[in-house]
Amino acid sequence: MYKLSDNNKLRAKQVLSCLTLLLVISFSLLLCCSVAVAQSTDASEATPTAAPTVTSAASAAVSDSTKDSLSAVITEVKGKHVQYTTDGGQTWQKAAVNIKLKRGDSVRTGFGSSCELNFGGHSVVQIEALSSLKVDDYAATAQGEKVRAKLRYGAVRCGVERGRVKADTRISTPVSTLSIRGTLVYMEYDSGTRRCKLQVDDHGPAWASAAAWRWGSGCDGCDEDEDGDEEASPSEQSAAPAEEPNQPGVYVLEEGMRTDCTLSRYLDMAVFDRTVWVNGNYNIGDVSELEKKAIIFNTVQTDPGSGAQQYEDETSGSSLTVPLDEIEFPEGDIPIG
Amino acid sequence: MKSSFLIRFFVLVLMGILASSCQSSRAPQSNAASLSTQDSASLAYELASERWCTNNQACAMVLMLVDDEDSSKSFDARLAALQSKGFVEPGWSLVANDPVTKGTLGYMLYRALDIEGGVMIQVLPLRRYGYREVVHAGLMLRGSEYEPLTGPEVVGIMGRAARMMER
Repeated sequence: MYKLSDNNKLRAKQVLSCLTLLLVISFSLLLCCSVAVAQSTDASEATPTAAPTVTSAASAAVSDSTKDSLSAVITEVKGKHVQYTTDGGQTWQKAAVNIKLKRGDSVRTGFGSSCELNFGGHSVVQIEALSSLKVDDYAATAQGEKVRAKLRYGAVRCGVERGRVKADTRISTPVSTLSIRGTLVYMEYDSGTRRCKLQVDDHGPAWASAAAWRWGSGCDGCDEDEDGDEEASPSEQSAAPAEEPNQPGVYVLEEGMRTDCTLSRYLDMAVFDRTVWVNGNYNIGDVSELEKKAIIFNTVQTDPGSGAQQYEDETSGSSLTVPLDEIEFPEGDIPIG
Repeated sequence: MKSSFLIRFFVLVLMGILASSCQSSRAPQSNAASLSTQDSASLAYELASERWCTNNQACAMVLMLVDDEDSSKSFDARLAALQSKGFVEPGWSLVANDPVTKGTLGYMLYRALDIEGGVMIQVLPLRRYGYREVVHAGLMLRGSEYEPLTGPEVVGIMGRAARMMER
């Protein structure tokens, strides 16, 4: 060790005092920053409750002139763990049949539980086990009905009729939005991996038509399982006499899938065997008149407005066969060898 | 003497600041020693917004999946219930507040769902092969058996498991 001179001691003292001052300043800055961060966190936690009320109130005021807010109804509850909230998730209550949900309300399910939400009979959403769905919007517009639902996690089966009321139904996840019209879909969202799976059934509305034929009109006898129609296999359902003439009171699917419970029953038994991972915005199901004309003009195909077709349909491309006498080879027979 | 003391003090303060800044990035948070709910719907809802899923929460979810409810009051009771069902091996040293790994949850689900496993899991009933069976069943994404799972990931996995059970 060496001894410092008086001059160096003075300098060292000055340096130390500067360091101490810097330390004090940095501590005070750190303290200020932490307080600011804590305040901003509090504010951000508070905004989800405060801000949406302001924005929803404002948007409601704007939209009230153009549309009327409607209520979705819980039409079926299975299991013990089905809950709903009407205050933005602060309190949850046990769900029961006939409870009405408005804009901003949510439903969540646990293990072995599911429920069904009915949007005026035109759109049905079945919420499967361990899922959470929020009703973002449900309103009557000049064009028809508007349904907006947000799937937070889990899976839903959704059926939207086509025909009398033009239902504009969209189910969104953080990674995709599905606009569904005149068909049935299964949608599953995993918030952990942010993967969204979409499944559609193989036959589409054409098969539902045959099923509706066998169920008869409305809900008369729906709960009775006399001849085992509910458990009928898809092949049996599709083998129903589709060519039979319409009878009075018999429900015809093409004019809208709505009866008292046909849509939800069909949704129950639909087999979703075509899977695709989606990421983006999609329109699924029926097409509008304008889209139909455009498709016919561009592709000169059969009427796409008839929905998904069965393989057994005469008009289905997969069932078309070309007679041998129509096959012509301009250069004569097929060269062999 | 005085200057060296101040320098040591300064260095200690800097080390303290450094240590406190590193503390916030540590993964496990001790928030699940006791579960706030016994209901699967609310537990899944909570997990969907949490960073990590702890062993305690995962064990509760598996019990709820199988029994529809979790009557255990503590993590030890949960482990005992799972051990009696054969979902957890006695040799495992699970800490309640540590994040659950893919191997642990995979093995529990393999047992709970009674998945028909391959040769390896029959010969060596380890978490490694339980996790592989669950990946093969499409419940979990491929990774490592030591990989910790987030809350939303566990909700997705358990949801798929619940739907698989219903089928």
